[in-house]
Amino acid sequence: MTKSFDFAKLFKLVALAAVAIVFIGTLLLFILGGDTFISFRDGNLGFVFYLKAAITVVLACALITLYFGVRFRKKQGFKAGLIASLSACVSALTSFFICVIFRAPLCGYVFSVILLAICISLMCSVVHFDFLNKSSKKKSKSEEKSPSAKGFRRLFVFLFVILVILFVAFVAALILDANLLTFYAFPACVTVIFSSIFTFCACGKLFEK
Amino acid sequence: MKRIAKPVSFIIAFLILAFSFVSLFGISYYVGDNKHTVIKGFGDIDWGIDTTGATKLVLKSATDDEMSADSLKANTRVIKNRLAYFGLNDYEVYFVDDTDEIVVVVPRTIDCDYSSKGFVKLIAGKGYVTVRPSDDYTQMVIDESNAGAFVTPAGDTSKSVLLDSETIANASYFSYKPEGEDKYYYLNIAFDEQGTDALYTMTNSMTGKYYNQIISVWLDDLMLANPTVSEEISDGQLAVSGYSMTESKAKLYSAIISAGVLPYDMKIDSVQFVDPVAGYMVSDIFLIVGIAATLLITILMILRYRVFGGIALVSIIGQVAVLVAIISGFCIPGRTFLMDISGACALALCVVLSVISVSFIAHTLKENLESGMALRSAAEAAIKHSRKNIFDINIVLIIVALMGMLMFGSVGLTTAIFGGMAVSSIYNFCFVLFFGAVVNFFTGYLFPELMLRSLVNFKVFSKPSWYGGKNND
Repeated sequence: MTKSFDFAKLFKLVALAAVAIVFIGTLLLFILGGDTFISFRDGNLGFVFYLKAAITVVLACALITLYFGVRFRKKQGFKAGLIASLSACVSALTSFFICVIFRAPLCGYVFSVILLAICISLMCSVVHFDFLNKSSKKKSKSEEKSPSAKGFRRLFVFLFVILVILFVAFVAALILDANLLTFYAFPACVTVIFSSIFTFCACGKLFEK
Repeated sequence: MKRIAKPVSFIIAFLILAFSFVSLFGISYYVGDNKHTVIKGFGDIDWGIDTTGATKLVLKSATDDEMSADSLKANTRVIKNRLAYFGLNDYEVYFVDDTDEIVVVVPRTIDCDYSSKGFVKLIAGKGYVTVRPSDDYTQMVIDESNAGAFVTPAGDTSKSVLLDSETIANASYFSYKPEGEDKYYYLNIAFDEQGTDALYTMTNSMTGKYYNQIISVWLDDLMLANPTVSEEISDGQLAVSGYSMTESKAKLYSAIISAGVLPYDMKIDSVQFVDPVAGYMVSDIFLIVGIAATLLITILMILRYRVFGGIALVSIIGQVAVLVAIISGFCIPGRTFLMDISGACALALCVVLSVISVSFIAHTLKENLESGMALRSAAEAAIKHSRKNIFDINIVLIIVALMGMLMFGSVGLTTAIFGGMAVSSIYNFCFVLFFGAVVNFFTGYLFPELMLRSLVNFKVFSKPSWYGGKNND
C-alpha cells in the first residue's frame, strides 16, 4: 500500500482554513465588540507588551531559522527554518482566533493556548524536517510507505497524546466544576489539531519538489 | 551495539521511581503541631492568583482632585517596578482612568514574611524614605508579619529629617553571619553624591553631630531600623538591620526603595480578598489529569510497543518528578515557584515531549524490526536515528522558552530596558517548558536509551515481539 500526500493541494486547503478562521474571528471581535467577551484583564498588557511580544517573535524566529539553517544546511535549512517560524506564527494567530470563535474568555489563559500552538507547530516542523531529511538520504525503493505517510504517522503520535491529555483535562474540569478550564480545553484541542496539520502541510510542501 | 550491564534498566527505573516518590510526596515530620518540611512535594507547591485567590488593593487620589491619566500611569509604573525588583511574576497592576483608581492584585501566597495584605499595602505605599535623628515613635504595633513594629515618628524624630528619598540612588540587601550566631539581614541604602556628603558630615568621628548617636530609618510611617552610628560613613552606603529584619523583608524594602517614591500622592481606598477565577480545585484537577493521562498513555504504549510502555511510564514519571522538584524547590527553604494554569499546561506539554521522545525510539525500533533487522542492530539504529530528532525538538523548545522567560519575567535584561512588566501566564509557561526541555535530554533520550540497551541483554526480552515487532523465527 502506498500512501502519499499532495502537499500543494493540502497546503492551499489549510491556508484557506487559516484565513477563514482569522476572518471569522476578526469579524466576531468587530461585530460583537469587546463587551461580548471578557476583555484582557491583565494590567500588564499595552504598548510595551506588544513591543516585547514583537521583539520576542523576531528574536525567536531568527534563532530558530539560524538553528534550522545550520542543522539542515544540506537540505534547504534556512528555508526550512523560515517555514517552521512562519508556521508557528500562523498557528499562534489562528489559535487566538479559534479562542475567539469558541467564545473562550479572552484573558491570560489565551496565551497558554497560543504558546501551546507555537510549541506543537515547532515540534511538528522538527519531526517532519528530520524525518524527510533522513528519508531523502536513504531513498529506499523497497520502502512500503512514502516518507510523507510515515511523517504523518509520527505526527499522529503526538496529536493523539496531547489530545488524550486535553480530553482528560476537559472531563476532569467538567466533573469538578472548574468552568473556566472547560472554556479552553476544546479550543486547545482544535488549535493543536489545526497547528499540526498546517505545519505538516507547510513543511511537506517544501520538500515536495 | 554498546553493551550495558543487565541490571542498569532496573537500577534506573528504581532510582527514578524512588526520586519521584520523594519529589511528589515530599518528606516532612511533626514536632507537636508544627510541621517541619525536609523535602517539598507536589502538595507544597504555591499556586498563583488564578488558583488560590488574590489580595486586591485599590488606590485613590489622596485629595478630591481629579488625577490625569499620565499621573496614574506614572504611579502604576513605579508600583510595577517595585514588584519586578521584588521578583514577583504573578500580579496585575492597572489604572482605571474613569474612576482615578489604581488596582494592584497580588497572589495570596507570596514569598514574604508579610501577609499578602501587608505586602500589597507596602508595595502600593508612597515609599518615601527618611533618615531621622533619634528613634522616638508614637506607638508599637503588631504588623502583618506578626512582629512588633514602631510606627509614626514622634518628638525630635518627627521634627527633623536628615536625609530623604531625594538623595537615595538605590537599595539592596545582604546577609552577614557572625561566627556562632544567627544570620543577620541588612538593608543597604546607597546615597547619591549629595547624600554621601551629608551622611559623611553627620557621621564624622570628629565633627559629626550624630557620631555615636542613634538615628532611625523610616519607610513612610514605618521605622525600618534604629542603629547607633558606630563608625564614619564615607562611602554613602548605609547598611541597617534589626531584630525583625528577615530576608524577605529586606528584599521587599530594597525593592520599594530602588523603584523610588510614588510621584503622585494616593491613598488606600480598599483592600480585599478575591476568589480564584479558576476555582479552588485546580491543583486536584491537574493531579487527576496527570494520573489518568499517564495511565492511559502507558496502556496504549504497552499495547503498541510492549516493553516501551514501561519505559515510557518511567520516563513520564521521571520528567514530572524532576519538574515538580524544580517548581517546589525540593530541599531549598522558602516558598516555591508560583505555579498557575499556564505552568500546568506547560507541564502537560513536557509530558507529551517525553512520550514523543520515547515513541520515536519505539516506533523506529518497531519499523526496523518489521524490515527484518536483528534486535540488537535494530535497537542501535533506532537509538541513533532518534537522537537528532529528540535533540532538535529540545533545542528549538529551549530557544522559545528562553526568549519568553527573558522578555516576560520580572528579572532580566528587559526589566532594565522596559521597566517592570511581567506577564505571568507567559513566563510560567516558558519557565516550566525550559526545564522540561532540558530534563527531556535525560528522561526522553538518555534513560530510555540505557534501559533499552540493558533490556536487550536479557534472554527473556530478546524476542522482537517484546518491542512490537514480529518474531523472525
